[in-house]
Amino acid sequence: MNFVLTPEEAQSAALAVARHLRKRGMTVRTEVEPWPSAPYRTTLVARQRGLCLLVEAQGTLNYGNALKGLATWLAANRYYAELYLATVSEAVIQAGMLGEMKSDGVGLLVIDENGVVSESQRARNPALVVTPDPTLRFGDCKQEVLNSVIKFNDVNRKDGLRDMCEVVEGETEKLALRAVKKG
Amino acid sequence: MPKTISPLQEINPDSIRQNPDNPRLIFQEEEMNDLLESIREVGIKVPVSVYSDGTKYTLLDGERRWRCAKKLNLTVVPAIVQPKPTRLENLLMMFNIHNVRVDWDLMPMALKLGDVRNMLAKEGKDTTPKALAAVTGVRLPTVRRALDLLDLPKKYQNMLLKEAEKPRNQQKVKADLFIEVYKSMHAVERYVPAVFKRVTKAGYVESMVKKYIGGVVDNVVAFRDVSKIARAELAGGDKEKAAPTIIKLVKDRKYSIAQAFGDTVQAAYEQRDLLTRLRGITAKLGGYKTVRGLSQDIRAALEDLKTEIDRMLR
Repeated sequence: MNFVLTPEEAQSAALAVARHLRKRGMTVRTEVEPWPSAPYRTTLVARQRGLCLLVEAQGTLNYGNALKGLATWLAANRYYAELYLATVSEAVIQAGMLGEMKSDGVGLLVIDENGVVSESQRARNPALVVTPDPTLRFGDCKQEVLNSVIKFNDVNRKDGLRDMCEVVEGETEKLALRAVKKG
Repeated sequence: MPKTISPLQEINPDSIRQNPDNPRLIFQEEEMNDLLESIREVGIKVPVSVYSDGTKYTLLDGERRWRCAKKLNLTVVPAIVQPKPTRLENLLMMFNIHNVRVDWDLMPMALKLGDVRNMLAKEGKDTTPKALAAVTGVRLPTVRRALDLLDLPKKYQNMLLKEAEKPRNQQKVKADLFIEVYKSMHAVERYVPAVFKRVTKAGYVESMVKKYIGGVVDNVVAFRDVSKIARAELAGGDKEKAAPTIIKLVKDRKYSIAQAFGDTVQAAYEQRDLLTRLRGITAKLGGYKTVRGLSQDIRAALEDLKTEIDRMLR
């Protein structure tokens, strides 16, 4: 694997992640544009069945404006993609930066000294983000629905879906009881 | 050197390739991030320089800007296209364009300087350090230090290249370490050759480098004290002690240079230093023909000096 744009400090992390993704059956390319009009070329672009995983390997974790721009661009275009930063476990990670990444839906991969990759923070896939129609009225369930949507979008997709199903079941039950009373 | 320069052009960064002769092998992540953000905000204000190489262009100047442009997936970069230089012209241009702006790490530069020296030699030109300094624009002391590094074994050269990947403030093993270790080795070789009948030169260097990396020696200047131990006789020290002490220094991992210096020549150097100072004071005092007008402070200091002299001569 040949790097031209990736600084030397980040190359070991990039190699470990590339190995990890290939084991998962993904096709990995280095330093290429994920889409022709993308505003940034990440270190790795991995693809599998329509999913595009963008990984920016770094020696020192830095979530700058260029990467923020890419995250915003992915979200605006609702690409079926996930953006991750990858760094070694010795790297200093600022708490504020993690929060910023989380709110932008950017994930974090950490590589330990044995080259094992672990997902420290899950990335959000913009194509799977749900935005309820703001004109819809949820009545008493408004808060529950919003919470389950937030949970769904905030990468706990199964939990969010389960909560939503429970809301629907509860409301259906209430409706059924009302119908029974009415005869 | 190229004689004509074409007008400004806009070129796709993907059709530009790196210059293989740029000794700047290492690009620090932090510096690159700063430039990337700047280019993202305001674009590339200074064109890169390239020469045409068939269907592709090769960079002469602006590798960091080009890298950032590729990273930001820019479709074009402003570029000045120059005529294709010869290999030697290309190398010299790299030195003249780049090294005057930001100092290269010494080891990558030394490797390219070696190439320049070989090519000049092939053309029958002067390859002395002075001539190399003149054609490359690198300062003469830096050229000398770089050439010293070319004599290092490959493993130490690789160690320096690896270290150069780190930001400068995090680099521990630097070229100065090897330059100082080798200087001390040459002094030992010259003044106490018996040492190298018991230990090898490679073993000497290895041991000193390990002492430094392990923290037994805390600064590279300390190796100058090994040279002082080797030159013990010149300072009036015991020459017989020098060889066994230096051999112990090589063989005993925990034996520091400060200890070795203390065990051998420290007293002799201190006495020599004291003697020089005393002679200086004596000459200075002898220059006063009259004692009129001496301040009270000087009188008091002379009294103190007299007391110390009496104590030492007692």
